[in-house]
Amino acid sequence: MDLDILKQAVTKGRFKEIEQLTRQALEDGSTPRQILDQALVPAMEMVGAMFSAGDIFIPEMMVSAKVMQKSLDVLKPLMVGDITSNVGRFAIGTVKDDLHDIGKNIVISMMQGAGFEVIDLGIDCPPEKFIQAIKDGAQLLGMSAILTTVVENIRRTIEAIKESGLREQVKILAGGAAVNESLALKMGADAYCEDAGEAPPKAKSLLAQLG
Amino acid sequence: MREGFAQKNFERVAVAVSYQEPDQLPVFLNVNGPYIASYYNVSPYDYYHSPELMLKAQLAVRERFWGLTGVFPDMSIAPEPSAMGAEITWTKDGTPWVIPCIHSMEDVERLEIPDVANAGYMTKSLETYHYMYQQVGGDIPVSFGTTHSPWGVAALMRGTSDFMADVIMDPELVRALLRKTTDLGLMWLRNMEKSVPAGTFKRILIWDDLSSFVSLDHFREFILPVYEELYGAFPECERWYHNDANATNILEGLAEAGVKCFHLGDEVDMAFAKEKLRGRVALMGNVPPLKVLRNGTRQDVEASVKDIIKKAAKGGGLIIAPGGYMDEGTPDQNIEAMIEATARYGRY
Ligand code: B12
Repeated sequence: MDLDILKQAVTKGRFKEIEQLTRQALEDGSTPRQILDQALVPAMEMVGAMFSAGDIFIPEMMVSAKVMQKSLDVLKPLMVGDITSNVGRFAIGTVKDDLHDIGKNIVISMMQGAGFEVIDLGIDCPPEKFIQAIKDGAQLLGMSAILTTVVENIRRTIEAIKESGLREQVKILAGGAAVNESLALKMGADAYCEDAGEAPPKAKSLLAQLG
Repeated sequence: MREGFAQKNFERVAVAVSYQEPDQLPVFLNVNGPYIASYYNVSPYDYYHSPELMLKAQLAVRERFWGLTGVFPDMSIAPEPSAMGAEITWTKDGTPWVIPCIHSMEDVERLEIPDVANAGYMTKSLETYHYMYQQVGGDIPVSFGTTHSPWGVAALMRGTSDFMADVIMDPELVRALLRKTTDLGLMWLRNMEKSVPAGTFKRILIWDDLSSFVSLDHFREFILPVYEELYGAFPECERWYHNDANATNILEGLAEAGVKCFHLGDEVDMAFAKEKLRGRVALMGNVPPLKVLRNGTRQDVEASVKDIIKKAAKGGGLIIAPGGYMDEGTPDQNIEAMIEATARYGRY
């Protein structure tokens, strides 16, 4: 099967067909790796670009992300042991007291689209949730802060991670309307992203530093 | 620039909303919980939960800014969802949130439109109105007529991102939920109308920060009919609207909804909005509340006001205001700078 069909199923949000199409592609000889690299990831890159350009909106974006996930559900059991199956494990949440989650959810779509395994910690996350995520194997944390009143909670969270002795194990990305580059670094994050599109490349270069 | 100024200013607002050029550009200070509580140095939680404190804090802001701000029951996002039984949580800093409670069509079917006397924060809001009216009603108009849009209420009760996906994956659920939240909105507005002195229910403000996260097509399919129903039930009322997210994509839809005054955020380019809505929808905004009003200098505020005037004053239909609600901790001097710059550079 031409993997372009699978790619289109993702960009066009064909939720009902994706499972069957994924199985078909496997039967026709594509490996899970090929499906991921040649169909799913490039499809989500396109979706991200269309979203940034204002050609599609959040519903379309969310549905494409769900379609990709459904395809991944078929592929994942076949990829066990393949350590290169994921680019990395990324956990993201909005920091304590912030409940704006639209931005965070867009970042999730973009990161999944780029092949990351994503743990969604949800909203209003106390430091313990981020710490648990590191224990669960997250190499990269994302902290979202939309309210100016919660920016300090990025620092508090990072302090708590340091105290638990896990800071060296992770890289931390901060984002959201209340943060900017200098503020993010001041709060102790490793990098800042202006928008969700910046997240995957920044995340990859941070992971490379982690070694 | 005292009491007389506010009076004159509101006359100019009316002229601007009717899309004419007043002698002088009007200004509007959109304030609510986070700013008012910070101004009065109380926790937002206490502010939201004590009608007495709410009134005192609002009066203090009103006095500080020459009568330009009003008195009104202010319960943020809590009234409508809580009326339908959704649980509200309050963060440590005292802002409310709705715990999503709609997970299936059965959950939607179970929702009931309550009696207003038994409707969570909606009831509290009504009681607060009566309290405020009793305290100051003779001297100061107490505004009542603002409702969170049925679309926004539905999104919060369902969970915003799931709701957005439902638009494509489960449109039936979206419609059914909107039916309920629209009925609730109608009930709420009718009760507001009944509560205020006869003949004074003149303006409805629908606020909806979530309406522009969908395409214009989806806006027309799901949201526009809801607005038409709400506004349409009160033909005597002027249609005001607030959305401070990036609403560039739905401007045309707002004109179709018959909106007369649109309070817009700073992510929308004023020149573009003016071009699109000229002669149809008056624009209220959009000095950046965070970057400029809260975090900028007087000079930044002045530059922003001048820029807006350049882009959108010609032909009328403009009111200078923050592009969103004033943020907590906004310095007095920057608010003054906005008022002064509007007076200085806003002569027609
Ligand atoms: C939509 C919205 C809401 C919705 C939220 C729905 C939801 N489920 O999220 C509702 C109506 C419920 C709401 C409620 C409130 N809101 Co609000 N809201 C907004 C609004 C209009 C848009 C925010 C948004 O979603 N933008 C779209 C997304 C896509 O952008 P974004 O969040 O910036 O995310 C992007 C990037 O920043 C980045 N990103 C984000 N996080 C991260 C994280 C990482 C790791 C990375 C890499 C990148 C990244 O990627 C995203 C995509 O590019 C803004 C105003 C505005 N125009 O910004 C106000 C705004 C954020 N809200 C504000 C306020 C005050 C509130 C309330 C407190 C109001 C009240 N009176 O109760 C409440 C309480 C909220 C709480 N406790 O958290 C203020 C905050 C001011 C301040 N001082 O910080 C704003 C700025 C409005 C204003 N006055 O100017 N709000």
